[in-house]
Amino acid sequence: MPATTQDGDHSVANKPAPTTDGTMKAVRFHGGKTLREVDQSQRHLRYEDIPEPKCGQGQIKIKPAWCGICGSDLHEYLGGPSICPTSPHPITGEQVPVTFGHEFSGVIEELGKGVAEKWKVGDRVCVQPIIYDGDCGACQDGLINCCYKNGFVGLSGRICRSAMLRIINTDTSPGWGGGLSDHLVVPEYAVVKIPDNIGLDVAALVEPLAVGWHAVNASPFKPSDSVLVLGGGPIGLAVIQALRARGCKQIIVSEVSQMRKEFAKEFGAHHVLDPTKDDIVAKCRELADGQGVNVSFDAAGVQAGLDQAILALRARGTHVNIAIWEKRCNFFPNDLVFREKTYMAVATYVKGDFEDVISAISDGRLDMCKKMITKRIGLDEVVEEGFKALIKDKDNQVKILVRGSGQI
Amino acid sequence: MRAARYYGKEDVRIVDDVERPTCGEGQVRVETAFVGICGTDLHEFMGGPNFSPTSPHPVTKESIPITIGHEFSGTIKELGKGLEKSGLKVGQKLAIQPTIYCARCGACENGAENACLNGGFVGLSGGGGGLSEEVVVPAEACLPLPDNVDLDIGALVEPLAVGWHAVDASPIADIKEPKCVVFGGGPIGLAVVQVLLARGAKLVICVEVAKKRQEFAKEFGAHHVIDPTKQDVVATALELCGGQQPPDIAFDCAGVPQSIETACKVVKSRGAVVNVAIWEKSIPFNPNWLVFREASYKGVLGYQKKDFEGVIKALGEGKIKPAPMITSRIQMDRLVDDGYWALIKEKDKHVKILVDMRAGLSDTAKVVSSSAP
Repeated sequence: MPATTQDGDHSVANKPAPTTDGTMKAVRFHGGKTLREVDQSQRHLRYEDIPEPKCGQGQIKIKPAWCGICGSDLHEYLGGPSICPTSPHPITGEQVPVTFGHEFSGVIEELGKGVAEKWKVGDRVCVQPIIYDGDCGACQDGLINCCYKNGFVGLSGRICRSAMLRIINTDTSPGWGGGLSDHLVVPEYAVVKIPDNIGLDVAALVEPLAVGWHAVNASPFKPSDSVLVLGGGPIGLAVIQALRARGCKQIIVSEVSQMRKEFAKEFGAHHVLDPTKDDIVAKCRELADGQGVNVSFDAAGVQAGLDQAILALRARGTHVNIAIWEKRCNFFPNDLVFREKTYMAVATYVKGDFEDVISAISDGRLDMCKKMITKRIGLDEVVEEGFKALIKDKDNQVKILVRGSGQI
Repeated sequence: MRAARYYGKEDVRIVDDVERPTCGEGQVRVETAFVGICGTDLHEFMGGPNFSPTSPHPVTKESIPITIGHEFSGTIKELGKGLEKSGLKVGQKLAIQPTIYCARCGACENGAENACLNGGFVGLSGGGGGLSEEVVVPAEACLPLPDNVDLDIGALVEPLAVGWHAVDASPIADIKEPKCVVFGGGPIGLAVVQVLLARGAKLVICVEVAKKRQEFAKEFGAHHVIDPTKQDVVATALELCGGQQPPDIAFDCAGVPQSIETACKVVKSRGAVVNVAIWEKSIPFNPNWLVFREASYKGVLGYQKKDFEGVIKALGEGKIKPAPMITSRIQMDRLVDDGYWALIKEKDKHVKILVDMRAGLSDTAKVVSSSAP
């Protein structure tokens, strides 16, 4: 169980950040009809001017340096809003338009009243973007990722003082904002310092790496295990790296795209299988004492993968779902029952994961991660060179990082 | 000897010409006493062989027709060679653990013989069955009953062990004041309810649509019963837990699309859903039901020796009092009409129908074998 939260007064730091009179650039998602339903203009994801925030009590203002684009962002853009609220969220009060960007690093530029003395302007940091209230049952168990009211910087924006305070001018108030902007203000609890030997670009990878790290931690994985990873995209690669850092004896990856297969091998997979050519289930049994793998991780989120993973597990094995699914799948619980298998799910990360990942990058256990950066673009190029590139050229990209003005 | 045999869909016959089994080394000849009919038996009867082998079973080498009955009690009639130091004695009352396993697959080698790749059950996979005069089983399948536990109760040990195993597989041991939701008030749901109470659960909520089964759940000690057609299960369960933290564990003993979805949604963060039900077909499922609270969903099957031992100990100590589960006692010749069809047509009226294997025997035989009237 992760450490319990002892953050003190969240309600103060969770208040909306006040605004200055100045404006800044940001990339915001406006939702509405899906991309498939209207023409391909930039209407839904706009590079635009919005008010620049300043620090409130217990908050820290950051100039983003590098910000990654994530699968969740793509899903929202293509088929959302789904995570982004379209009517005032009963707790956060937020709704679209929302500034995107939840995997980013930056430099501290302003400190709000009451923040700890350890913070200094100029500190190099990354942001742990989970918004949590600190006092629900889940938070009290340290499970901030399961906070019953949770939100996400860059996907659901700000927390309101109370649900009664409906945000009237959502179009103009930046709230918490997101990493795809010139500035943003977050509560102190979301800021994590990075050591000097980690570049700001690599620091933008901490968030996706933490997803993989947490998945491995939360699972019953042991280093002597044989493990199957479904998917060689950014999250699959994060899982592979976490497994390798933890000494996994045998990492088997299932992936269709050629480029992603190569990435998987490069990042430490012992065996890379192609589900269009190989019998994944038979191979996994063959590679793992004739019994099957001990643990499987789903970073793909497709029916065929789920079916194969469940059968590829040995008796009493565990399947770990990381993927967020676009639609329902078909599931036959008997496939778990007759061999007493478990299907568990993980969500993002908990307290301590960011720090653990930073440590592992710093001491070399996660020495491959910089290779995840396959393209670097400017904030004004996000829609064309970022989102659209990822949609068209998915397989050749792992992480596209957007250069912010805080980049040194 | 006389036995009930399964031939296929809606085809169970009482026959008289089944060969008596031989009792070899390490084996025990059991004279059967009471046999329960189970949901699985009904599924095989109504739907045709699904579990029962239609080609030779890897361990028993049998295929249908097979002798049926896998929830049964009996007394020891004969001990095979090599059991002098086993502690077993002729005349001893027993519950039988009907697990069949191969002892050489990965599951067996790792202590999960109930998940054996070649596994099965006496009374479902060949190897004899409780609905016959005698069965020969390995000594390890014989679980002696304490003096204060009668043979009819002995036939309930198997379904109670299903509940015990499911509860054991849950994280209940790590939770201070466990709050649990049991979906389904049929025999297995009721078994889970009883085991949870015996194991000190603070709150047991049963979710059930049928009125009679709701009453049974209450009778067996469920603190609350929720009718999902009338109340919001998730909201009501949270309220019953005090409003701050949802229930810790959910047991799906119903096995329908609504029960799995609600079970996943009712538990707290990092909550556990234990699936006991055996399903008829695959269902639409949304992994996100587990994702947002990092819940887990675990399948469990059957039981192991420790579960039989746990149940028997609890029965001996009076921690489980399952007698009201027996809603009817019949004789073997009425098996199909008053057993199978009664359960199929009046499902909610019954919990367990037991076949009294010694009813109608001569008085001498009765004195030697049965205990309770």
